[in-house]
Amino acid sequence: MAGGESGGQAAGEGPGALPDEALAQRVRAGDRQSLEELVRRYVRPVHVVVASFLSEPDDVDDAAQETFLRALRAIDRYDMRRPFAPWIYQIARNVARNQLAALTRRRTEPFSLEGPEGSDPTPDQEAERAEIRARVDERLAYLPEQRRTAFRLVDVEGMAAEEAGRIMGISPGTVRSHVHHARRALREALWEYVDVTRDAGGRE
Amino acid sequence: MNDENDPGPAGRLGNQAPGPVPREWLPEAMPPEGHPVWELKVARIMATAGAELGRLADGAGASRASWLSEMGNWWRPAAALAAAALALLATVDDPRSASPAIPPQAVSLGLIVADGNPTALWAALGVPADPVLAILVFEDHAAMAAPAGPVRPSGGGIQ
Repeated sequence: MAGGESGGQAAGEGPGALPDEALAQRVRAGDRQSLEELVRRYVRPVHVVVASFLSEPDDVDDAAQETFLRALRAIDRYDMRRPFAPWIYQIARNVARNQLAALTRRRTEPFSLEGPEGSDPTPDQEAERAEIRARVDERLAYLPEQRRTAFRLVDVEGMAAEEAGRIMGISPGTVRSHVHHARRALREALWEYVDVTRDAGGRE
Repeated sequence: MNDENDPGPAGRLGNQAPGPVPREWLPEAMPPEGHPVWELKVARIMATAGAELGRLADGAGASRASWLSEMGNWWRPAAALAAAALALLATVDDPRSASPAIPPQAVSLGLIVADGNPTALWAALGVPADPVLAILVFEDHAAMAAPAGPVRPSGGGIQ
């Protein structure tokens, strides 16, 4: 997030030099350039956050777009004294959660269980990797929200704990703790998986 | 766990503390910042935000206008009141410039007006008084109570 810093810059400069909160204030007056700058800063983090709930790229895009629209509609209620990142993160979470609930109702099956399992035959290594990914997706879906998002931001997207914490509105230490627990949960899930497949393989 | 040389991806995890899960097992990361795909997404979001931005701009303009009209609503009666107050000030005499009509009984008020000058006090009561004698008589309560008349020299009265 290149422009996400909230440091104080001269208010007379272009939108790119302004902190998020000042941009939000301008958006409140209908300033298009400021909105575009905010969207540019947060389009990737918002996609990452909603992707920690939703697996289909189209669903992720829709949820991200809805997040920005909701933020725009609620910009009058945004408290300028508070940092912008956790505010939009909270909106993204709510949007993704609602969309996930709607999708789950529509599909009447648990989130993210349809993976590459059973797809075209591939070399053994490739198949194993695909199965593990499906298992990882499934396990991630059952992690608590904060833990899942922190893991997604840090381990999947490669963000520093400080940056992830700024977006989520929590301390870097808490982010690290979430990531630690998520890793442990994934490893446990993978151990179980390995045992099952080896048993199955032995029976074949 | 097994007898194979390669324990497989999961087997390679071992019993170590939970370090990062191998990257190839994780979901695909989003394209990096600056990737053209983000520009497309920004454009898409901005296209859908047009109507809402317009509403915000209209709202901001309307709130500015309503603020001004509200100020106008308050300024009109305030200006009328100020004009009325000025007109009153211009037409009414300054009460401080009016000379008080002191009734003869209002000795205390007379004292204030006389500002410690007994002659002036007697003059207010309609009695022409000698400046020296006026002081002497003023100290005589009986003389104060007496009806208006020429102040007699009080040669013996002092004794």
